[in-house]
Amino acid sequence: MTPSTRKFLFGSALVVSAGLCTGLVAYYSGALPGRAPRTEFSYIPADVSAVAFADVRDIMDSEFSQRVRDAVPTGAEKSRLLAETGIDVERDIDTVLAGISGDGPGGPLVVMRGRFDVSRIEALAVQHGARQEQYGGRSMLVGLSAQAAPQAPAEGYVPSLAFLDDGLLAIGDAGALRKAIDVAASGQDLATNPDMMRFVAGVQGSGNAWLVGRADQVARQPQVPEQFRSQIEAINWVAISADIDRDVRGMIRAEARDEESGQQLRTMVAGALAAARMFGEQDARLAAILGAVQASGAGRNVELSFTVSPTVLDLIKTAAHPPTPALPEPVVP
Amino acid sequence: MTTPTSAAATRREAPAPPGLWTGAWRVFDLSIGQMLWSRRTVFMALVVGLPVVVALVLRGLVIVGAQPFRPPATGPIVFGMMIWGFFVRLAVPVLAIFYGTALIADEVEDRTITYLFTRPVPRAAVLLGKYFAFLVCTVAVVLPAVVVLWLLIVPIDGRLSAAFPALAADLGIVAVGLAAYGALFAFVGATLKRPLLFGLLFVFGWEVFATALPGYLRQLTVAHYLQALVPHAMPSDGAVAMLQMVFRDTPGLVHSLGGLAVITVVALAAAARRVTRREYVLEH
Repeated sequence: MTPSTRKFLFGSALVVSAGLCTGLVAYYSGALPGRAPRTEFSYIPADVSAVAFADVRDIMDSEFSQRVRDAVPTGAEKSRLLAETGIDVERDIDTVLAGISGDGPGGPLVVMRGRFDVSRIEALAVQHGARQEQYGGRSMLVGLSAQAAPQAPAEGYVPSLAFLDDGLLAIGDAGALRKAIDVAASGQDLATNPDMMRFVAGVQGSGNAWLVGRADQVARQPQVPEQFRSQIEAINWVAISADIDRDVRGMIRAEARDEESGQQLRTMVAGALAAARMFGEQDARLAAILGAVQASGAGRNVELSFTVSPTVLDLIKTAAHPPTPALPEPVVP
Repeated sequence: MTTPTSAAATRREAPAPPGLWTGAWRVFDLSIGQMLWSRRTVFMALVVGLPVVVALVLRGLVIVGAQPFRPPATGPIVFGMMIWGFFVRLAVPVLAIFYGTALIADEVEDRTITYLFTRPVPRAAVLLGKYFAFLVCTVAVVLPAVVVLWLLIVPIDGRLSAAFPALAADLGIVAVGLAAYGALFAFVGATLKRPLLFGLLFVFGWEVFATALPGYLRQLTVAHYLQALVPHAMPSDGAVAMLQMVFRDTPGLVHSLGGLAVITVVALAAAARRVTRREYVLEH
């Protein structure tokens, strides 16, 4: 081996070792790199039972969204949020990330990225009874009116808002917001939950809206009916993703507790799908929807993929607003 | 006139021919320099340098205050996609094709195989030595590129601490992939007349086709076992990726590593056997 070859191999080993040592030090100290975390994920605690994401801008601009808007005119909730906080969902928000906790009064923590008029939001919130507070170097508005909250008020729930970063705003319970700020500072965020991140990475990029959650924590909720609980208990994780564009292409994936449960779940899903197809063949809308549903999976996994085409939406729209029958022509004597 | 005693002493002093591993080491020592300072390494450096250049551009954007990724994309996610989409699916198989198929085929083409085969080392040692030289050479170029990429990309909206386990895994995956693909294409190079064409058809034809089909065909690919090690980075866009997702039957870690080990050992043994038994006819 020539000296130049030896030097090259030594240099290569040095680069790899330096990278691994840097990573190792960072891993055990949790302090590197120097730049502060800036993403929405940095504020979601590692112990949430579910996390959901929506690229609001992409969805709002999609052709499918326009059709839904025509079919189902809404606006009450949107107007209420606009009146309470000055946030226009369609105009101001780009993405929404929600972390849902399985227990406690915290409720969901909703982190929104977009363009926010801070002074206007503060003025409106204070006008509606909120008080300003500083926590962990972030400005918070504590005690918003219940209408602005992302969930129905529960005991101990204090609807609040926090300006986390430039273009990053969070809504949720005051305690949950304070915890989110602490989480971002300590680095103990969602990224430190490898089980959930495995599923999050699987659905990221597969659509403009997705949800990942621990099914067993959902099963523990008292409001879940007993007959569903036994089914859910066989599932560990659920991941749902949807790509909303001209049509909606979605995928629901469940990871069962073990291979036997996975097999049972696949059989159950296939049976339910076959039964639904049999009973739904008389209804053109239902038949069209069910025709685009495919069940698959292996081992512990069960997958259900579906497509809702514009044609199906037109069928639903027609059913919701049936065309007015033409009046009979007057008989001229 | 020599006595029987002195003749025996002379026989004892004659150096014994090196064994398989000693011979392999000598061939490795000879080949590593040749491989490292060849045009192929320049090509390899260009291939693996491409994502590093992209990463440098992205870092430049961050320095000037631009947001290079659109949420929810972050540095760790982009790094994972680069490992999956570029290194595992493209760079590793392509480098293994270009180096692996050339281990013996180049010596035959250059008509220098005779010089190697007339040395007092087992023929299998020639193949093994060249294979390990390929492995060290490619690993020495590719792994630093992955590390530099990681250091540049991950800190963009991400943390090195959280992404370190992924780096360790990715380095292992790239090395294991080079070993498995390299052994397979070493066998192809020792067996076929047009190994490069077969290699390209195997990676970009057969593997894409077989991994997209349901059933057991995918188990006859290297990608099936290698991809299972990086399911977190698997993109789900594109028709083939969607098919792969629908028919996904991901083997576990032990199954994947076992599969890759079996491919490597069987392919190397087959290649060594082929080189030992084959009569290479040098064309004029």
